[in-house]
Amino acid sequence: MAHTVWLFGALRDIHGADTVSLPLCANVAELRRAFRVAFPHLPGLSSCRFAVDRQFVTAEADKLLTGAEEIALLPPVSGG
Amino acid sequence: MSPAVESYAQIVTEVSVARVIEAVQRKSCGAVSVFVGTVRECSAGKRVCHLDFEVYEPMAVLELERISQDVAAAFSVQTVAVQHVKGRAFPGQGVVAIAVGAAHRKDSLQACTFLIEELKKRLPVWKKEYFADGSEWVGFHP
Repeated sequence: MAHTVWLFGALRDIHGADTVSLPLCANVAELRRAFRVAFPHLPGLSSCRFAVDRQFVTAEADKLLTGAEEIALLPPVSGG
Repeated sequence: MSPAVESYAQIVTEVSVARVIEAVQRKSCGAVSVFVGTVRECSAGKRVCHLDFEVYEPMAVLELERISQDVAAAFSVQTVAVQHVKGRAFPGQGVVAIAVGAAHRKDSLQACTFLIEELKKRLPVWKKEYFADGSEWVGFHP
């Protein structure tokens, strides 16, 4: 099983695709580490926030994952 | 616990100020406050040709609802309506329209300010500016 992570804005532009695939992780903190290792060409990860099932994740180590979630990696927002 | 606010949130291709005002007007409201964000023709000293707004739409609609509930928890308001654009917008065009209805003006004015500030921090929307000599995503400086 794997996670599909949706990318937006500058991240999607730089990567050249809407999604990336990562191996199953136990929680969002682990997913962030896996992302950094798998996609070292994507900059600014520390300023990006994860959303799981359409909600921002605040405590990443506490947000457990099963592989069924909708996951997005969100660069700093700039709406309005 | 504060009562749930009546809220209306939409991602649209063109904002309608009349529509958000209409959505919040009630006979019980003595004040309707409105904020409209528009595209500036200049950014960082350069002339803007247009903007593109990318929206994580399913989350954006939910986040607008959550922000509206936070507004209701913080201020005595009755109704909240927000529209935000997706896609292309040109200088002078509205890109976000907010209206808040309350019994009294102080609550509606403060709630309107709170709402746009929260929206700027939390709404999953990304703006790309296009100039004559290139383009850049706003707020992303890796």
